Amino acid sequence: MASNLKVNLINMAFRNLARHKVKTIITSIAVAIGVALYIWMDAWLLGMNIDSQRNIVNYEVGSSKIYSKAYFDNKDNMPMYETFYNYQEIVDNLDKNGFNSTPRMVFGGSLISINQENPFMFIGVNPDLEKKMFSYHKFVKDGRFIENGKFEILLGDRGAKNLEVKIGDTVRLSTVIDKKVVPDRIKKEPFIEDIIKKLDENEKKIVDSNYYLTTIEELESKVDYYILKSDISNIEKDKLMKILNKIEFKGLIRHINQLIELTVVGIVNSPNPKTNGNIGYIPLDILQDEMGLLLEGGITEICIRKKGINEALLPDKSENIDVVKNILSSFMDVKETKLTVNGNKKIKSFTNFDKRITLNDDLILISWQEDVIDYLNVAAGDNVGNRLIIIILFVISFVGIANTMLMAVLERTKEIGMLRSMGMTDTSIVRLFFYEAGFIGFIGSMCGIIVGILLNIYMVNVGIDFSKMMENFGTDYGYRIVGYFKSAWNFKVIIASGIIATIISAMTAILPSLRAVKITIVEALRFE
Amino acid sequence: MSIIQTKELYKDYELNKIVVNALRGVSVNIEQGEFTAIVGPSGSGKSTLLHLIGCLDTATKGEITVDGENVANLKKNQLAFLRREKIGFIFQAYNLIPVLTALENVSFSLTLLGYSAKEIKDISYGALKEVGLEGMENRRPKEMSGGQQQRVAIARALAKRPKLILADEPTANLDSKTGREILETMLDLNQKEKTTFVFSTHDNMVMEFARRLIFIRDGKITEEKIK
Repeated sequence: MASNLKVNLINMAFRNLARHKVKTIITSIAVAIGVALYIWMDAWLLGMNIDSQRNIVNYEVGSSKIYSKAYFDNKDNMPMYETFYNYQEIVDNLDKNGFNSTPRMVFGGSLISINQENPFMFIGVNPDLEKKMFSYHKFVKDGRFIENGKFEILLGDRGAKNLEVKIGDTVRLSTVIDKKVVPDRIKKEPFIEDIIKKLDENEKKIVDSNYYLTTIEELESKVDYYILKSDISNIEKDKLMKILNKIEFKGLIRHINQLIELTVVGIVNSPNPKTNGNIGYIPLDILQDEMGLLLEGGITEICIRKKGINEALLPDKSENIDVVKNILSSFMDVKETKLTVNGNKKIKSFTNFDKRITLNDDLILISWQEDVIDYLNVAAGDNVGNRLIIIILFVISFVGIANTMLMAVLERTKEIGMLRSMGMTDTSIVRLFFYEAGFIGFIGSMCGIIVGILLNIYMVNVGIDFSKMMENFGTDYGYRIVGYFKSAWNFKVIIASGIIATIISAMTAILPSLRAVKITIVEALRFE
Repeated sequence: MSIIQTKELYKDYELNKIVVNALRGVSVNIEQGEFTAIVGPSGSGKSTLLHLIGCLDTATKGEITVDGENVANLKKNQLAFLRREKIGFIFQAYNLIPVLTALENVSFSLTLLGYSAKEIKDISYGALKEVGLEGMENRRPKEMSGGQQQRVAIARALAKRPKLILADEPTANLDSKTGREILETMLDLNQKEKTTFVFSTHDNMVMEFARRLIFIRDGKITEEKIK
């Protein structure tokens, strides 16, 4: 009998929905709009995030990066003096093991044209390796890509417009070369107190030999300054720098103003707005000597990506930093340190890596996520904000449904009284309204899912073109996307939004129906 | 065998913050198969008594026994089952579901009893035929006269073959000809099925049909007549 009654309640719920066709349709439409809107917006956000991340990997970072540890620790200030030198072995070994890599020298400065002077970020690149690694060279809209050995520059489209330059124009790169040098002269007090005492015996010998010193006593016997050997070899210099770095002696930074004349040979307009702004790509080889940045073979980073990957996909396990680490460990001293949760919460939340990989003590290998952690944090913040707005819309539509259900129950108070007089239990009445509202939610959800999917089919395949708007605003909305903003399928959310909408809808009937069965049957029958 | 027994029944309720003593110590005994009318003017407490007997409301004091069950001992759900299986109601305002057809209105009470779809259909057609509404099964309440609607209400009450039918002023909204027809139908069923009918009324025609009259005034039984 109980099971029969259960079936009857469902039948009754269906019949009641059919009885109140208009109300059922209107309420279902409200649910459908809420669900469709949620599915559409969620897919759009997801699409923008995936596109942004793809663009970051394909145009900006690669799947992983190597920095000098000192540069990475102060990355936001682009400390061009924190370079490293012996990278060719890394590039060759990665190449042998199926990875592309490209050394880069990133520095800041300003670019001067006849009419304008604007702050720019410059990237010294090896054109051949860069083309193998990144895709922005395919989007050189005017002119051509830069070539080795030539004093030329490839500009971002917006940057070129800001400078009012075109192909063939000459621009001047103005920067300050910050060069870390082994100091010629070191003041006595800090040297004795802070440096010498921290060194072990072997390290002391190296320092001593470079300073013509043999013992601490001899060092202390000098009056004011110690003169460094002027003819020490680069290798000794490197060793000395390592020791000085180890004991956190920053050395001296020499500032040299530099002006480099370059010809604009190309203008790039890629799907990643970062490549299209105030950015200039310059051949790395011209920056090496006194005509360039006095790099002497130094670079600030190496970008790494697996060969022959599908650009549409984000990096997978086959190119994560563990794979790169294993390749490099054959010729480098690789150390892995666990990161503490407290110190690196934001890194842990975005990457699968809760460790730090150092190479030969002075280099660091990081994943692409860690490299753009600030962007990912901001994007996540945006997502939370956008999602909140959608959830508020969702809630508003369900407040509407709750209101409709309240009115429906109130209108049917007399009917409820009659049902109770005929022997229907209070629980059955609440369940009846629960089923009715649940069915409305289900019908609405199904319609919402269909509409959401239809919208998504368009959004995934075509998208909305925001290029004109972005051009007018001259900004990138914080996403690494230009032009078409496309959606991505998120079937979990599609299914979940349908289920949640149905459940919430069903729940909205509980309170009003509980209230309706609280009054006596006689009062309910007299209700007008 | 008595189907209804009330002992010293009191019912007070609040109306605009004033306590109204609707029933003041009503004791009555109604036997199975009776055709009884509770008669009294408006506000005398006859409808209240009917509601208490039908377990639609609870008494302030006193005892009610329906078919041997002391309703004060029954929980809410048990009261619902009692109403479902043993009591049928006919209301003055018919209380049909406007969007359902006559057949569907009758079927509705049967769905609660867990009958199969075929049984529900057969019984509902039969009940409508019994009250003379054959051929009008698919009409909605607004397409029927007051008398026809009240017949549907009777068919709905009858369909589940309850032991007791409580009718609250069933002829109040009907013209005398229709009222008489309705009462004849109910009397006929009373005689055929031995269903107990209890009316609340101040209509002379109902009093004419009733076999027993219980007069009530100011919440107290003042007189009883058995024909």
